[in-house]
Amino acid sequence: MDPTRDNPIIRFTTFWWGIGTFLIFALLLAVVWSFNGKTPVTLEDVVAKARYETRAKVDQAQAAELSQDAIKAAMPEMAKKLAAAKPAPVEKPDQVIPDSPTAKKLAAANPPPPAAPTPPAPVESPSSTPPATGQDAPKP
Amino acid sequence: MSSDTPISTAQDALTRSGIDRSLRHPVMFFLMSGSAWLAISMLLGLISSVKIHNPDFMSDCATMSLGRVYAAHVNTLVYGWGMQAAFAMILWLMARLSGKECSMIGSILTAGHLWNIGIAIGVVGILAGFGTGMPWMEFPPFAWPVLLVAYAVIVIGSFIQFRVRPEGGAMISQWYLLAAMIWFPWVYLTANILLHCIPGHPVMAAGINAWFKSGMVFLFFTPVALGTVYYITPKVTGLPIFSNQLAKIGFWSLAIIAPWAGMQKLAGAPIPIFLPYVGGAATALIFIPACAAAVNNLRSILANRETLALSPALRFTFAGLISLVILVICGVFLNLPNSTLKASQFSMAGYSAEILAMYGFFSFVIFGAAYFIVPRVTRREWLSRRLIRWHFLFSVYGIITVAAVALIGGYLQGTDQENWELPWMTAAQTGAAYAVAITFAWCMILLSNFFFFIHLTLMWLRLGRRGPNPTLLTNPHAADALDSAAH
Repeated sequence: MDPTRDNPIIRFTTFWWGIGTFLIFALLLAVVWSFNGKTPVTLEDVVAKARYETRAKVDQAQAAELSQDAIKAAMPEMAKKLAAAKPAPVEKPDQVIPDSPTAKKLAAANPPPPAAPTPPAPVESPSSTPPATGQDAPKP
Repeated sequence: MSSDTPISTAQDALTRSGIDRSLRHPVMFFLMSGSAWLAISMLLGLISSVKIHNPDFMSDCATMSLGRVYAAHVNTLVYGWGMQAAFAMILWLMARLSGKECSMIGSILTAGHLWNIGIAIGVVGILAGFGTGMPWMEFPPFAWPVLLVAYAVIVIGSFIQFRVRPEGGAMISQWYLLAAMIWFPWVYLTANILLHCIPGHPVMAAGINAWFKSGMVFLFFTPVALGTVYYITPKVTGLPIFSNQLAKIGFWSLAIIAPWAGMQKLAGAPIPIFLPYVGGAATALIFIPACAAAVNNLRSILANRETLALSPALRFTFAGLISLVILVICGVFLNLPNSTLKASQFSMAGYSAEILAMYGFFSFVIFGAAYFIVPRVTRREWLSRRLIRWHFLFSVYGIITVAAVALIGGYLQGTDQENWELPWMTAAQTGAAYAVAITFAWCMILLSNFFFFIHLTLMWLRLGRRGPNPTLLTNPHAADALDSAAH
């Protein structure tokens, strides 16, 4: 056995050579990636370009219709009008809870009109029964 | 110049004994934990196979859905069993071939535990629904750095042993083992960084994944197995390797061809069209290195048939080499982009090739090596030749059934998938009948691995037989008596 081939220095350097060999692939991959790190252009990107142009046009048109400056300018005036307006109470009997004291009070103040008498139901004769053949009955 | 004097022979025996003693715990740890994961993998494979022909089986449990169980089955087979068995082989063979004792037992065992914890968390992650969905890379993304660090700690000692070996050239086994030690970080690191760290196009992600699978088989498991075969065959037969030149051709052709394989699985996908063709051609050309290694070793084995009949190590190695030849023949005929690839691309046929590679070839070679190595590191002989025979027979019949049935069934399934006049359900029904046979075969393989695990556990506990004679598949004395009676 050749003693010069096996000593702590060779073992130490071989250890790091081994670790380096294992990691060299990751390093090479990182180098390749750094030189070729462009974002891939896909079909989706090409189609998206036209979509973004359309969106820009729509945004522009909408901005031309109603500008933010006009809205901001109108807001103080509108706020003054709203502040000056006196709120009026809203009377809505349909919001009163049934059978509550308020409902009874309202019912006492406005009694419902008397119900009209119901007419007697007409007696149907056998001749008025529509034919069972599915055809339309003769009109009177 | 050294000569075979009694002193040098005794010195060699002492050196080998010291190496075996130093590696007892790491080698047995990896073989034991690997075989335990193998049994778990076989069980998961059995469940997933049952679910193919009986979808209602355990259908109430989301954890046991087919997508999760199948992924857990494959990942435990690859990382739980395959990688740990490979660690055991690398550690022992590199130490023996370099003539150096292992001096990093503590760190190797610590890293081994880390590896097993990583696998366990990964499998739980898959079963809990956090798998990535990429074949052979289904573990949740946090697992791969853990496994990579553990790998580096486990094999760096073997790297150093190779560097400080006594003067002289490297043996062919060392070539293969060293190459596998370097190629694994390349494949594993590249694929994981590209898929988990750098965002890319999803179609290319599928391509990288297909390349990773092929790289794991041909750039890690195949070289480890071939390095083991090149050690076991001459040791057991007592014959030298048939041709050193052929061994070199086999090694370098594997190194040149194998990195190009894998992309054929994306034939028809929107990727550059040359990639599937290059992948298909490379997969077919792997026939060259595989046949070079197979011929080189089979000539030595077949020249010594008596030993083949007796030695469990040689019997398993022989079966592994035959599986390798079948695998590469299938690789030629199932990856033709314009004809057969369509029928094997999305069917059970691909599974057949994976199982043939991981179990038929790699695992059989490892079993053979385990029957050779374990008695040396434990200083005990295997307890029962019957258990070894059962392990062999159940494994052989099981793997033949799985591979053949998945191949034929997968091809028919793929043909039905390609026939646009048939509903998709017809292809599924075609495969279901074959899945029943695969379930039966998994039962046999599970049983065989149960025998192996029990036997290995007894050896690990040092309950093996004490004695100078190895445990052979047949009793040579009984064979002699039979022979003399016949005459």
